[in-house]
Amino acid sequence: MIKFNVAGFLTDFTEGRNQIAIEAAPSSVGEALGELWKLHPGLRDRVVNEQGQLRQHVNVFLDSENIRRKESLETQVADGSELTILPAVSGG
Amino acid sequence: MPTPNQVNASSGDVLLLVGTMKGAFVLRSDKDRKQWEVGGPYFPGRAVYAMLYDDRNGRSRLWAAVNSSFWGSYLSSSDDFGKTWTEPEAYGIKFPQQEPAPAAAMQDANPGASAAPDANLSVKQIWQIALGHPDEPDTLYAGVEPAALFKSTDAGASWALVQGLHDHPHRPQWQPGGGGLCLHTILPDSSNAQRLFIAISTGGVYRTDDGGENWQPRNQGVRAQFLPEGQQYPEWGQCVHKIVSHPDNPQRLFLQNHWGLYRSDNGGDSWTDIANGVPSDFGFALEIDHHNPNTAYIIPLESDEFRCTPEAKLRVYRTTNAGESWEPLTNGLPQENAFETVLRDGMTGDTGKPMGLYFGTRNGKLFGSADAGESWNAIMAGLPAVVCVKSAVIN
Repeated sequence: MIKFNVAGFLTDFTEGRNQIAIEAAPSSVGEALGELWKLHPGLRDRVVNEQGQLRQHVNVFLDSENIRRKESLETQVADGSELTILPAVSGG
Repeated sequence: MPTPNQVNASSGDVLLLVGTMKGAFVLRSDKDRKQWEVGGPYFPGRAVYAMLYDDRNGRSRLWAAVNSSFWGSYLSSSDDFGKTWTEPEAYGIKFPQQEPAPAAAMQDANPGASAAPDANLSVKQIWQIALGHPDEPDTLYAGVEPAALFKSTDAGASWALVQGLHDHPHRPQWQPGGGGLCLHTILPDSSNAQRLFIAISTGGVYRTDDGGENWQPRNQGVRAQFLPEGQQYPEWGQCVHKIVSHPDNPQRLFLQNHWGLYRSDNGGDSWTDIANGVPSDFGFALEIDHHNPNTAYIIPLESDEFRCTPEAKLRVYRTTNAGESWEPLTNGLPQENAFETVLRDGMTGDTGKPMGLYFGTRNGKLFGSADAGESWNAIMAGLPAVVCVKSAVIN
């Protein structure tokens, strides 16, 4: 099982839920997000671009670690992992 | 988030669609165009570079190009003059996914991380939304950054990349201007459904005569001041800031260049310098009088380095003789300490008689004229930086 934490604006696309669990057993963050898109397809284009790349000002944390400091979407996940999607620092 | 005000529009009213760096506004006036109600802000915190009103085929639809620095760029529409806006589950304007790109697809969206030419190709900003030819009332176009053209033939329900332009051999050599590599202008030819003009910074003007399959650069006579002596009139590669055409005389176009002001009388086949008596031929904003193809309006800026109104005077310049001469229009506009910038989509005219003319500045001021520029009124101040002003008259 993988748990997702989704906050703020993104909950407009999760029927208001900020915690989502999936029973699948993905091997990577990218695969886990793919399972999340199946449940809540409105999240996809907001979190990744059309090439499937994480948007520049969106961060995904695997447990407490930013996946950009690991292997990005290829970072391995284990059963029970928790993924948190947050807007990064941007704007002006 | 602020609660947006709403406007109620009815037949004969005039709308101003104002896109800013932090949201969109919809202003309504009666046909006198003197008093304005303000709707918005819509999409607070998001940049809205392009707006459009589509009243074809029984629609009364507003479009806004919404850009979130977090969540990407998409089109939203409203069929009730801004009370509600669509928030599409999937974005409609997207480049095709590159195949095969398994390695690139696992990277971050980092512009410097390209492993293959188009491995990171994604829409950064939607710069323009335009109606198609009058005979194609369900056709819309969108211009994006990085420079590409998208087309919808079902009134915006679905979109497709215009592959003919995307496959143009010049594309890999187009260079981004200060605002990015943007396709910012789309002009159908009212007399020829197969002809369409687009303008790219920095790529220049391109024209198709076969509905988008093939595109030819149309920049003869347009200077590229940033190139070495002897190379300043290339076939393509100019930094064109805006082109406009006349709806009843589409052979007549005006062009505001990155240094340079031009007119074409032959559908863009060649351009003539018409910077006669203007304080600067640098600028962005450009509009043609919808009732007279010899009348056009510009707002000159001092230079590419100091992109503010010359002498700190906010002046609209008008020609009534196709560029033989220009006159400043200042009645009601600040003539001292006016360090203003009006961007490429920051000025628009309406279809009323006389034409209403409107522009917004990066300092958040919105001005309007109900008499074709003879006199001006401050409509609003204190807006976020204005990047787009469009108008519509409600049928």
